[in-house]
Amino acid sequence: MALFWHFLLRDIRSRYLGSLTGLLWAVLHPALQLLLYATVFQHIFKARVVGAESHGFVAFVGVGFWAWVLFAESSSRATTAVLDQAALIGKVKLSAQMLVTASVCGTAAVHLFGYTVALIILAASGTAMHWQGALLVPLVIAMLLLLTLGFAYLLSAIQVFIRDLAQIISQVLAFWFFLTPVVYSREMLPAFAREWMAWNPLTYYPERLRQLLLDGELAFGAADAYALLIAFLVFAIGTFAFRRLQRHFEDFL
Amino acid sequence: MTALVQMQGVAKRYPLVHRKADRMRALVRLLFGLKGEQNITVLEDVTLSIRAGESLGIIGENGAGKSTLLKVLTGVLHPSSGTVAVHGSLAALLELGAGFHPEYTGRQNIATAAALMGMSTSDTAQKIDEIIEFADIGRYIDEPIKHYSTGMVVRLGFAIVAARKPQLLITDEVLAVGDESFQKKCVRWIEEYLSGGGTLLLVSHSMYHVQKLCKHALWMHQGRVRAYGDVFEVTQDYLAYHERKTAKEAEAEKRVPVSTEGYRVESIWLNGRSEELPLVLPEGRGLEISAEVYTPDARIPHIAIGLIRADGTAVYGTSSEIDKALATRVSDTMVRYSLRLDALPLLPGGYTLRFHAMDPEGLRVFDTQTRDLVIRGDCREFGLVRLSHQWH
Repeated sequence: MALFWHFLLRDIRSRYLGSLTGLLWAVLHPALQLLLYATVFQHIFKARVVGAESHGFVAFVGVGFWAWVLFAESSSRATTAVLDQAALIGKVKLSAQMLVTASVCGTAAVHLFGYTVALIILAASGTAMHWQGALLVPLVIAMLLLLTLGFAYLLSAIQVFIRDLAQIISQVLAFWFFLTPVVYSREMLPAFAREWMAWNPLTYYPERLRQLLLDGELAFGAADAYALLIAFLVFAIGTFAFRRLQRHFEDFL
Repeated sequence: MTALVQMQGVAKRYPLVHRKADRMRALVRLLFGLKGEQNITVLEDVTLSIRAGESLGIIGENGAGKSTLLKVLTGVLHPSSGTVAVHGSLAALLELGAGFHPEYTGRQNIATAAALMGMSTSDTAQKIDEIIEFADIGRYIDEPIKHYSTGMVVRLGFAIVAARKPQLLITDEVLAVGDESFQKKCVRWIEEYLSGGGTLLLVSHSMYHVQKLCKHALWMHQGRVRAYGDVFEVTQDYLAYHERKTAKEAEAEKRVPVSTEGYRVESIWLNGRSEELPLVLPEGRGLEISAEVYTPDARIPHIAIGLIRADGTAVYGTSSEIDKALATRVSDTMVRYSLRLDALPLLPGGYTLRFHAMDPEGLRVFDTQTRDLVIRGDCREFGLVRLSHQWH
């Protein structure tokens, strides 16, 4: 456990190693990104997003965006988590799975900090938010973390064997972003596409966060149970595959 | 006494992973719980047990599997078959700078290494001054490791291990990198550690270190245990093996075909034994030699006997012609010579006895037969033979 914290802190520190402002970036980055989306979509594209009218576009995107960033960046960073530590794995006894967990949690911690800052900025700039919903947000984030961990285990284990995966996954994530209702809402799509999007396990998270924080829909239902099931399933598959393969990492690193 | 480490039939094999298709196939096979294809054997059937308080040196040529053995033992690598059980705390210094991150400072790396060895944060904080003092690398402790010399990296690594005071200490040929004074410091520390009941596993190419620090030695050869036992016996055999290997390489170039016609040495007895296996003798013992020489023409041939060290250095030679020794006739076509070498002053190591059949004039060599001889002992003098001496 001490080792886990050590690597978690090391992961976080390594992002800011040598940078002047250090953790200030964790605040600056989300704020700038929100500003960017506001400028591009609201003032240049004059985008009209169904469902975003009542809260404003910035709030609409801001509430769901970090869920995606957390998932995408954790996955892509964790993909090479085992490979990056090849020097350690072949020379020191340590749990490779712990390294991946530390990588995911490090990324998640940075973005959860950013998310908190973003929500505070939104609330301070006049967005009406449901505080009862905010209390339930950690539950949704926990599910997202479970899903992300499972996905990260799977990717990092396969990356040891097939080195192209890191390249492929960055392309896949770029597409995946636009297949997930982060900067638009599902209501804007034709009926058949809306149905298809239910198959995307990431659809749930930005939508549910908006419901909780902006619309105040607090009741949990079948959609939540389904998302929880998927998260557990992905976590189980990822863990299983990782455990199967980790004995053999040393032969392929 | 309890076994600290127990290895049973351990093997380590690696798959061939050069081609993309191989890696893909391996991934699919492993995911479905099938055994991967493993084609390169690095360790085979290693059984070993190390008891608390023991000091074992592991020796062998490059690529004999010494480092792999240690990695399997420490749990860094998983054995392809067999079992490894370790009871008790261990600390290993496996490779130069293993576990160190080049971008971080010495101080930060101490924290990582300590965490990797399972030391708690408070424990590390307590010992950090002790570690820094032992490493003795001055202001470099706050510089990134990438600016260190190899010697400094070893100093730091050893200092961390020393602070850990494990039940089992494992080091892999790292002492050789440090300078003279640091090596001495390490050796002194290890001796103290051993006398305090510590257990040591040392891989080294320096027989001096192995003999000084270890009671037992294990000789790895092509992934297998070739010899295990008393440190002096095993290291002497190992050195003799190297001497023979060098001699063989040199001899291969200048070997002359020996005539099979005419006189030849038919059979040899060393202390009454006729088999071709090396004869093992404790130092200072005598040696009874007899040899039968075949003669095609009923005349009495001479015999020459030479003693060389395993690397080909001549020690002594004589012949029945020089000594005017007489043969006993065994039959019309066979004569026998017998002689005794009293209290051999040879130092422990590998030697070869050479027997040459010569014509009755003692001019021409007809045949060569050899027998290997191993002298055992735990003396640490140098050279070939012991010269009788007294200190005043």
